[in-house]
Amino acid sequence: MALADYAYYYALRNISREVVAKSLMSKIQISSSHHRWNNLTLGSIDKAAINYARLEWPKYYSDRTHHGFKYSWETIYRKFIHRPSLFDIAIWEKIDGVQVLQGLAIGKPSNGKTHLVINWVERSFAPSYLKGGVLLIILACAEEYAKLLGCKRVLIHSPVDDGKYQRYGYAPYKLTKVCGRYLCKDL
Amino acid sequence: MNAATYLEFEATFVETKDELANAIEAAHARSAHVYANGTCTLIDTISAADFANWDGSDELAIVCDPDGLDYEHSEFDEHFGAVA
Repeated sequence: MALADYAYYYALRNISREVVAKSLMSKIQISSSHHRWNNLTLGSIDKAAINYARLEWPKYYSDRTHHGFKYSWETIYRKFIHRPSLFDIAIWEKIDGVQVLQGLAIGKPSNGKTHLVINWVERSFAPSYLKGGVLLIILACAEEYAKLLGCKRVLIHSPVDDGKYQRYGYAPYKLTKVCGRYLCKDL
Repeated sequence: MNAATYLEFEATFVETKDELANAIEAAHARSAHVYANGTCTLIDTISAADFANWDGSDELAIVCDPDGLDYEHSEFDEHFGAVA
């Protein structure tokens, strides 16, 4: 039964990425902004993504950007993978024929599938970073996956630089008996 | 492997394949239901003019769960129930 659960949620995540990719493509075609979003691949977090984040991203860590997390992405991923309904995404961009990892995100829904929480996000700080940023794509995929799960809202747990999420429709969310800091968007 | 074990193995194998196919079919049925009236993503809500000038290069795009990886005792899950 567990294998079927994995297949079901894997298919839903894949569908959510396809919906977002189509949306992005249609927007690119009418807005002449292809240089910002060209040659992207939206996929699952896999060994290649984990290795890239471990080997390449630290080269650009600094006091002005980010020093990485306490945990490796491999450790984070292992904590989530036992939940078939996890949310995950790896955003790749092909630059001069080379696949460059631009962003990773992972989260999970609540038991009743009323909320989808994004728990971890990291981006590349290399000079080749995606001009349009990874947040728009990550949040769009999370929202579509949440819709497919039947969730009422998407939450972001303790993002750095909260203000940047306002333009995506996210606002502070208070929960009784919960001290954590969340941003929320109703679907 | 005797005949009885072989039959059991074969039966399990067939059942597993069907379960996976059914799961993927169920996901597509769910998608068809949710998107019956079309799709409207976060990206669709952005005007063409805004999208043409969209710049996210100054976004830190860092989310670091302060609970660490202790999801067995997450306050959010305690509030809404454990994750399936």
